[in-house]
Amino acid sequence: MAEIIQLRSGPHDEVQQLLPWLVNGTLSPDEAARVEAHLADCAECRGELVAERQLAAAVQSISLDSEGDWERLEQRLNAEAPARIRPFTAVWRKRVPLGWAVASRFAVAAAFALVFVNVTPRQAAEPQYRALGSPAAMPTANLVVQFQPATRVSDMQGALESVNARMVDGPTGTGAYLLRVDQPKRELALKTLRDNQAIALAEPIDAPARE
Amino acid sequence: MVEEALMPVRSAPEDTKGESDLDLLAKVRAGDRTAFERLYLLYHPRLTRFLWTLIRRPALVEEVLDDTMMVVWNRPDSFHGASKLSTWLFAIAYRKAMRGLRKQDEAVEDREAERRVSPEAGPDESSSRARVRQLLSDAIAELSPAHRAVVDLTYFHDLGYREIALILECPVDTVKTRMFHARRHLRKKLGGVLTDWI
Repeated sequence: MAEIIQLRSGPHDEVQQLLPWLVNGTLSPDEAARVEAHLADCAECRGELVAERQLAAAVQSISLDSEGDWERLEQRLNAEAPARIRPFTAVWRKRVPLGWAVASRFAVAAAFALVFVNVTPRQAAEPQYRALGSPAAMPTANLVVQFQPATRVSDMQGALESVNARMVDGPTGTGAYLLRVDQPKRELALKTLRDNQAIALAEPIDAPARE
Repeated sequence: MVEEALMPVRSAPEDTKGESDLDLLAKVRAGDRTAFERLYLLYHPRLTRFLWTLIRRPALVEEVLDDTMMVVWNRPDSFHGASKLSTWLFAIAYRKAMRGLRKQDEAVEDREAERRVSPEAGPDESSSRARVRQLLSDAIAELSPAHRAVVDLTYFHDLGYREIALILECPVDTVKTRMFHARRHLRKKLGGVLTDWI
């Protein structure tokens, strides 16, 4: 639709232009006063105003069948979750330019392993903290979690206690924590953690094929 | 029920917990996915209505709606508070819709889908009103997407012309000119059938 009409600048034409917004009540007080002053003297514009109200009411009466489909968007959120975790994403893209599927759980787990090796190589290769009086090394972590940014410490503790997890390391440079849970119960623990609103990400960090 | 959800929203939206859209956005910034879901449900009716008016193709409406909301999730800090959140969201949706339309061949427009705009008479109204609505819907479909956007944002979403200019990223005089054209077209197509509408 070509816009070829040149609107004139007289008060009559200005009022004609502004009528839709007089009807929906969004004109400034000054504009509304100016339009209403003109309407008092102009029968033609009063007729236009009536027609305008009818048109607006008719347009408002048009509805359509529509319901929100949160599940559809949620699936996309899950597929694109790493995009929100910028440091992780940046390292992953740098280190793994292989076109792996973003949604792949194994790819995410492998990428996390790369992150830890890359960002905290010393901790990953040689656990730095040992319990006093114990010669044994810290247990090996078998999953990694990332908490939502605003999570309180008590909620973090509650999440770990809900799956009897031990914190092995963290937070890393990516803000993640390495945990150890009973290996046979790991899948259940992952499910429980993923259902927890305080958890942004929970992934195994060794290949399931080796279990 | 759906029609109730699509009634015009004349004030800043609040969800069922009494949270404003800005409250929800603050939580989205902190990574709260349930707040994001509430924000999505809060804006879904209005954005769907707006996008449907612009695009009139179900699959593209869904795609653009989701793309718009993903901007909120992935880049919430790109909203600086200089406008209302709704203005920002409509502007994103408009840009994405126009981009989506350019990608698609106008010739494949889903004519049948236009029938989804409910022409059926409600329990309390005559079939003549349903016919008028269908006539109006067809007349709106003949407008360009940019003209349809101005009509919908003015008549259905009750926005002022300055806010519409922000959303469409055009001068306010362009908004007024588009509206002038659109009104003239719609009234010409409808003739005198709206005389008894209200």
